[in-house]
Amino acid sequence: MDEKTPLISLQHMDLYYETKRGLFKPPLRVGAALDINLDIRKGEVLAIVGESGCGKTTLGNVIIGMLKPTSGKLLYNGQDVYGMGRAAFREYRSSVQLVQQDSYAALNPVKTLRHSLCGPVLHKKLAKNGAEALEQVYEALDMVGINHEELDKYPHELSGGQRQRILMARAILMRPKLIVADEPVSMIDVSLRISILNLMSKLNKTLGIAFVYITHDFGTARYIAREGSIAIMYLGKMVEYGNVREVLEHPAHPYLQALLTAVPVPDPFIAKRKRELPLKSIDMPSVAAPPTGCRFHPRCPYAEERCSREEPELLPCDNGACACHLTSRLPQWSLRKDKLGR
Amino acid sequence: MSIKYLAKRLGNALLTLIAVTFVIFCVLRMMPGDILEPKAREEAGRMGITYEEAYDIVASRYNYNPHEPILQQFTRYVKCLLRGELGTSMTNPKNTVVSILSVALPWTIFVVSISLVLSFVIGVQLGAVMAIKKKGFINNIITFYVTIVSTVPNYIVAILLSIVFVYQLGWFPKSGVYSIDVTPGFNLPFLLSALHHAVLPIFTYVITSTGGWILNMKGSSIHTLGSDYVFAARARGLPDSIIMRRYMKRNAMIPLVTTLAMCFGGMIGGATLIEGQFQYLGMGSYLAKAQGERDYILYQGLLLCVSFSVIVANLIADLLYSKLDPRIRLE
Repeated sequence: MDEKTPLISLQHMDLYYETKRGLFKPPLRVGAALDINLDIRKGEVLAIVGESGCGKTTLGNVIIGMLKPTSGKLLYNGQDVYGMGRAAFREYRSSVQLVQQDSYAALNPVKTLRHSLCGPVLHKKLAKNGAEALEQVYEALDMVGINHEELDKYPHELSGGQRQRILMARAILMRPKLIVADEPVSMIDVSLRISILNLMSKLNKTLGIAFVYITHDFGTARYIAREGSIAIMYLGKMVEYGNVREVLEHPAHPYLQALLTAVPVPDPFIAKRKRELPLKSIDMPSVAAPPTGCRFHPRCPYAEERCSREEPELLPCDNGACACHLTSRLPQWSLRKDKLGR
Repeated sequence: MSIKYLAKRLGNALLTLIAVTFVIFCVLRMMPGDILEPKAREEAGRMGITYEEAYDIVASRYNYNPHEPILQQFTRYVKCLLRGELGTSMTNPKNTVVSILSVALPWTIFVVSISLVLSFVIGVQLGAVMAIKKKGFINNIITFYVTIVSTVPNYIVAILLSIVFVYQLGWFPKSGVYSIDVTPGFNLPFLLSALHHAVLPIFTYVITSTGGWILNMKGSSIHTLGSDYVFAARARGLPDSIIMRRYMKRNAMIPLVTTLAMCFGGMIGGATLIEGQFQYLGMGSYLAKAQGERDYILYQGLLLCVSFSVIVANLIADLLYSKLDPRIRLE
């Protein structure tokens, strides 16, 4: 395995949820994530952004191996996760860790933190005995900035920010190469978000852990993935991919342009001159019955006849990749109507 | 747990007990008819005297003075209680309520505790299995069973069981709590005989109450299985067997344990109809007898004992809950 092999690689990954609809009807197939091609390199920070129900959490669950793709491949270090031996699979399980959104629900409420943190270490045989495990736990606590005394408390006795740090500690104790963080700061007080984001950056830099940051918030995505990449999802499909700064500055896909327009700007001067992108419809179509052709065409202000027939592929463009037939012909986008500035 | 909290809970329990004593006394005296009425009517017909005359004659035979003011009865009762006595039966002055309790209560506790533990254990196991195998064959069978059992009243089950196993097959005795040819005490023949007599009542309780435990546990388990920490444990690669044992069962059982304690208290009253069907002389049959004869003293003594066990069970459940679930802090 050479240095260029991506840590995690998704190749034409499809994931369908199936719902039974009675005895004689065929089951309802809902494509939650379709034809996803994605590489996550070692130590990279990738932000996956999209609105609710676009399949970003599903994608996260596929990456950590909790959902088996309906078709396509999930590769870990170039090896197929669902075709590898037991020992290799166990190594993959340890190497890819999850940090959930609701830090309260993510910890067993009837166990102390000591139990919740030492247990996995001992179970995975990362430490020979209890004392050694405790040492590792202390180290992890130092890393995330939690006092050692908090160890004998129960999850409900900590604050939300502290609990989120504990989740980070639990994840790094497994010595992972990748942490999938599913909206880790959306339930935390705004004033504390930055410290959790900084903690993630620190873990990324000092331990070289790659992060997949799933969110619907461009602000935190831009902050955490500064030099990393971003993937925009819409209705189970990846519509744009690229370097965070370039993608957010020069969004190529009309959906991303619309999203960026919708972000409120706390500056009345800019806000007044903000460019409006007239979406045809506010409602997102149902994932169970997606539109034909480009999934965004019923709402897209630029849609042409071709868009309702052919489904665009994710093709390389100026700054990354974009799934739109009209990429080259769209007008240049900028947040402000005029370029006058102040 | 602080001493202060414990004292507060105990005080609460004591207050409840006092209130219950008062209510039981009043309600019983408000019931229509008394122990003398039917006997007096019978006597009047037999001897050819008026009802009032017969009533006075009968009153002298029973341990009950109907002309005593009710307030005086109550003070006498309370004084009696404070001395730790529950009075004597109206029908037979030699039978103190305590002596009846000492005969009936052990048998009821014997049957109730065995059947509760059995149905709880079976219910928890099956409920957990149902929660894990949501679409399995076993799930359909259990659901079918629970539906049937929850619609059939428990005394019907008791009648069915006694028809089959007592009257048709003759495997189990018709009545009593142990056979007359064994000597009560801690010896094997006595214990075996007691068990032999208790099998059918226990079986009836287990058949009819397991369904409730199964559904409770299933619901609770599904709730636990859906929580994020179970998902995280799975993502960490913990095998299903460990998740089921250490995560799901342990956490899903918390609400059930308190129900168990409360059920135990409630079941001390015995199921009159079940005990009656098997002529098992526990609390239930004595309660039925006392109620039928309007034997106030015996009835209030038995009811007080039942209420006492419910209150104690509630207290235990309360204290236990905080031990099991650290989120519930006792203050």
